[in-house]
Amino acid sequence: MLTIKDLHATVDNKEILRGINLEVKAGETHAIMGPNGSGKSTLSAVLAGNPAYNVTAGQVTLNGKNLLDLKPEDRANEGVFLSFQYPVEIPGVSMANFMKAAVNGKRKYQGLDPLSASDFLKLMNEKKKLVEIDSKLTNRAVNEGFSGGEKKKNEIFQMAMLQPCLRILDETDSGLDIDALRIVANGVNKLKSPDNATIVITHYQRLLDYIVPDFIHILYHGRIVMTGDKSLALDLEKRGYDWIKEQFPD
Amino acid sequence: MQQRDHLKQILDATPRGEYFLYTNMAEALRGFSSARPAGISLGGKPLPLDKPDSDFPVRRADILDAIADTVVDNPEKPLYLDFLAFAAAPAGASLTLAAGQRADISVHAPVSTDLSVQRLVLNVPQLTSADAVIRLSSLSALLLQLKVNVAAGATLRLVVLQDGADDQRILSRTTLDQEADSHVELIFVNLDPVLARNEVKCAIHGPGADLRLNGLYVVSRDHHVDNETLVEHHAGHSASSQLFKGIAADSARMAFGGLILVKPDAQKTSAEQTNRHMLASTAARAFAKPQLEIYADDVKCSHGATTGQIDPAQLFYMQQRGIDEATARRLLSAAFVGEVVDSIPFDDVKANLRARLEGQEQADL
Repeated sequence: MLTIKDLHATVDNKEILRGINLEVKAGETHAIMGPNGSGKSTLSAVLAGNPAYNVTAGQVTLNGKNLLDLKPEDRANEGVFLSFQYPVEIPGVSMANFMKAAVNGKRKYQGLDPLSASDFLKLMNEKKKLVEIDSKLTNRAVNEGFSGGEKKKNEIFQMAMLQPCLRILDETDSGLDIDALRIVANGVNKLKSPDNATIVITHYQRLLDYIVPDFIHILYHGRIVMTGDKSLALDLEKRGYDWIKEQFPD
Repeated sequence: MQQRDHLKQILDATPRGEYFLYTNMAEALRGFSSARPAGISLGGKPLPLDKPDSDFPVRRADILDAIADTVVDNPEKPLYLDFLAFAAAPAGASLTLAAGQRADISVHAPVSTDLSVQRLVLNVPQLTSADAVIRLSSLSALLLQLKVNVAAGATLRLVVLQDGADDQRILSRTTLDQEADSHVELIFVNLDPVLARNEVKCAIHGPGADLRLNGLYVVSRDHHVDNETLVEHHAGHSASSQLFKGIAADSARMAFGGLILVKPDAQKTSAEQTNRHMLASTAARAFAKPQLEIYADDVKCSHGATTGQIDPAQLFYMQQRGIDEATARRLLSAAFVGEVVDSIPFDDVKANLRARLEGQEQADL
């Protein structure tokens, strides 16, 4: 589904990604771990097309399409969904209007007519139940005044609404208490299918108890330096990152 | 003839004083020398005009003379739009508003090389609660002189609205006088006319009165909108608040100048003024001139003005959800002016405006 070849990227002229190679197939869950500043969030931002980041070399294809040529909205409509580490508050834009624009944006991209108001409400209600999000939240402006946990739940709600094929969870566990973590992880698992793939970016092994990865990659200094199965996370939890840093000096 | 030449000289020289810093009045008033009355209607029917004050052509020469003098004597706060309106629309209309039914008034300038001018006086009698919407449309150039008298204990909710897609030049000069214990909500809306200038002078004459004066404007292309407000507190224990928000795209310009004047006897006045501008392109320009003049010592007054841009983080977040950039910008722009839309007291006007701001019609913003 997703193929990343020798991806290099800079932010403010500083090279953060220095040759990433990654292959993600449908149905798979990949975890990306690594110490602070290794480039984890940069990778997710580059895949989503954040204009603050510059791709200087490499290729990324999603289902055969060159992702790097596409605008952020077209990447989203091709099925890339980024669950933000810090979801953005948008005062004055209601969740309903926001979701309607997103759902119909995708439908337009696919050459479909916009959803009718009643079909849209039906879809909202169905997905709200699925991810256990309170109607109080979806009646408000986008993320405005939401707690950390509510914001992350809202990300998963949006994921449920948009049904992406590539789900990138950027530090979804940050700012979550145990209960919220479970709800969010349950949502991700419920929405998992043989047709979609998941990239989980995290610092901690804890999230991987709930969202169990098929592969774990360790990102360090902008490169994937090690790949293993879920036992690698346990090793990291015990030993930290120092042994990796020693093994891969600059 | 000499006086006319004199006036022309003055109008041709811009800018003239700070009050005219932002709007080229010679351009705005093009066609004024052959100005004629604009159409005015109430609920779709022509509004009867008052008896003409006097013989029109003779009067006009005197007035043009007076305009010239006013501009020379007091370039900061000239009244020449008032004089001009007086000269060009010798009759004018007046209306006493009643409780219970909203007065829907339209003032229209047809296609013309002349300036179309109209005068309107709105009276709200004592202890009456009245609503009105004045819709301005202009296929050429329109000047409305509006006088609003709100008697003691009365309430007025008034929206002055310009929202036509083809509107050209639109000028309004509003004078609001409020007596004791009156309440006024007055909102000006401009949706992308070629050129608009609203001059608003509000005076609170009695204690216990309050005024909410808001403005919303959206400009694109090379269009221009200017709001100039003067709020005078002549009596104590009165309150005023102003909120003016605007968005400019492309190479459009927007300006807000606001002066709060608190007279010596107006103790315990509360007055605030907020102006927020959003620039949606690098070529768009925003100007703000907030001012306070306070001659009483026990008052609460504040003003604030900001100019910002669309937040790139919000824009990216929306795009990441599959919302194209133009739609995202439109939704964020509508959200920015949303609090002024929400302050409009009439649901139909509010809904229509919201649809216009969020919908396809404004796709070029």
